[in-house]
Amino acid sequence: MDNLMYEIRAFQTNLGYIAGLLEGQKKYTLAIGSEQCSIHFLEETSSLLLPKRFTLVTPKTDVIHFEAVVRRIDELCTKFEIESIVVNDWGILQWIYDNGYVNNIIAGRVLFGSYGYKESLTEFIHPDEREDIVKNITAPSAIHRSKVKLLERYGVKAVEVCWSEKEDVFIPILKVYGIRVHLHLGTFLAALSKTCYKTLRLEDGRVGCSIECNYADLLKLEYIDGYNPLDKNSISEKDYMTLLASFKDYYLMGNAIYRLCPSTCCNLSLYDCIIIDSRLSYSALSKQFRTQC
Amino acid sequence: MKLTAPVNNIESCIAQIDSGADEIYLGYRVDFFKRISFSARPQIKKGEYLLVDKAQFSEIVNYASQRGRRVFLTANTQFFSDYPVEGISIEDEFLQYVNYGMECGVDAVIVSDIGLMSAINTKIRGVPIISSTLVDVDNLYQIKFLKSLGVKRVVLSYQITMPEIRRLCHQEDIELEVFAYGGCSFATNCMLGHGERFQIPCENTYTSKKNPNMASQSICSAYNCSLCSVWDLLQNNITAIKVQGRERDYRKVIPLTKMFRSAIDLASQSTSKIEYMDGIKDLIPIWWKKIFCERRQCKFENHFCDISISNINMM
Repeated sequence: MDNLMYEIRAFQTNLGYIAGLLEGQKKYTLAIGSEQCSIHFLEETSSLLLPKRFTLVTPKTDVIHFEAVVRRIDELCTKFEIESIVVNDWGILQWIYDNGYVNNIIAGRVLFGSYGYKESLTEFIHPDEREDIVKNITAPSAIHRSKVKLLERYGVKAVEVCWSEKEDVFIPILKVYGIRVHLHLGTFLAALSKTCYKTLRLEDGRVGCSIECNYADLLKLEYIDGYNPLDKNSISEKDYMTLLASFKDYYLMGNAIYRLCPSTCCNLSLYDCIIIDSRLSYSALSKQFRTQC
Repeated sequence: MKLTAPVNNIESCIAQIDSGADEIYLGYRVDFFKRISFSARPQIKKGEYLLVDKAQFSEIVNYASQRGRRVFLTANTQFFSDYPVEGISIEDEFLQYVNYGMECGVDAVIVSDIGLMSAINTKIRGVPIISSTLVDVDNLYQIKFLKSLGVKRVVLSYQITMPEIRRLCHQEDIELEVFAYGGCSFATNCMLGHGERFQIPCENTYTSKKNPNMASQSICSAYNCSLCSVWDLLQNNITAIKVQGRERDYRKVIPLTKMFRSAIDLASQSTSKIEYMDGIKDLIPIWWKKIFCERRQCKFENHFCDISISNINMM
């Protein structure tokens, strides 16, 4: 645990505050950028606010924003000491590899999902499925020697994962593969789209792009498409209301939906680095600094 | 430009070919799993098999190949890891699945897991790989990355737009395909899985704490109709357009195949977009116009100005 590092993700709205908190702290790294949105990534952040060293989080991006995103990566790598680059797009990984930025690449969580992250909403896995197979398909998908070999070829030194139920089984396997593991504390990336829900079809520019995307907005499920209370074969109204209520802890943020998971169940000692998103894991962040600072 | 259609039994194969499909895609079930499959679809749902068995698969491949149609094996389940299962690795099982498909004579394998693409490329070799839409490709460097893994065709992201297609289309030695019908708000990493309880989560209605009035809309932003874009897709060297529907009763998918067959034929014969648009208006049935045109469900780019419901003679 003594070697455990924390990466605090800061955003334009709280960068000054977070940078101030982390000043002089050796166990903490400041990270800026976006895993979800090219437009957020491209937002001008005042160079005065940025510390000399930080981790750069790069987004999943499309052909229209690609040039601007890699120009920004290049600019930041020239001006600052970038500790690591978190990559959430296979194309960005290829570009980084082609252009020689091979130091400390981290494969972001957008690249590696897991059915283990989606079980609350779906019945994908049959109750009769063999236990060892269930274990396999609910593991973080980075646990795969062919993937790890490929990542090594591209200079990737670490992967990001979300919490999984059998972390004590899964995470040591990744360690055996010789790759560092960073945990997103308390959050799952539930869905990522190129479309921003507040503006719809945000493709050619930042029309209508709003700073509100920096804040997590709690989603409440009001109605399940196709439910008909008059249908005899349908579930009872009481069960239906229970079902609606069971959809909880989902947050909308720009073009992404996040789900919170209780951070108390994580065994932090299994990981090399703990990622705290200052927008989503506010309680974890404040707890961290109440106890550590 | 080819038309690629889903098949889930021999009857659907015959019907799809008769309706004008140039290429078909399907998976088969394996004993290794109870419900999940390598094919991104459940093997069984409500007691009914959604995937054919190995013998039926072989029969379908034979039938289609003898009629000059290309067959693609769907091996596009996402997110497999390689945690050992009683000494058997999932990757080995997957490679056997692909090998059997190749032995039967499939023309390519549709894959979405990057590690499994890499495994096919290094361990079997010579298997033409199609990168599934689930890889969510929408930039040139992703295509370059996939080419290095032996990918011969890329199915672009569900949410690709026409301006993006125009920038991506001048690629040499790689084929590009798009979904002509069907799609999803999300692709990579979507954990809002479809299921019996929450149906299709992104199509449900939500409110948000900061915006209680958003209940009028779902979080779904998928647009399904690309009929007006077929001419542009052809001009932009798109190799194939795909119709979705492996889980559906094929009789409901066949009208789509027929419609897109007619659209491709019309686009091939049209000398201009105006000529194509004039022709396509007559091809689209009124029920389709009500569902898609009236609700502005244009995929790739907005065409609703050209084919606005108010300009259509409903009678």
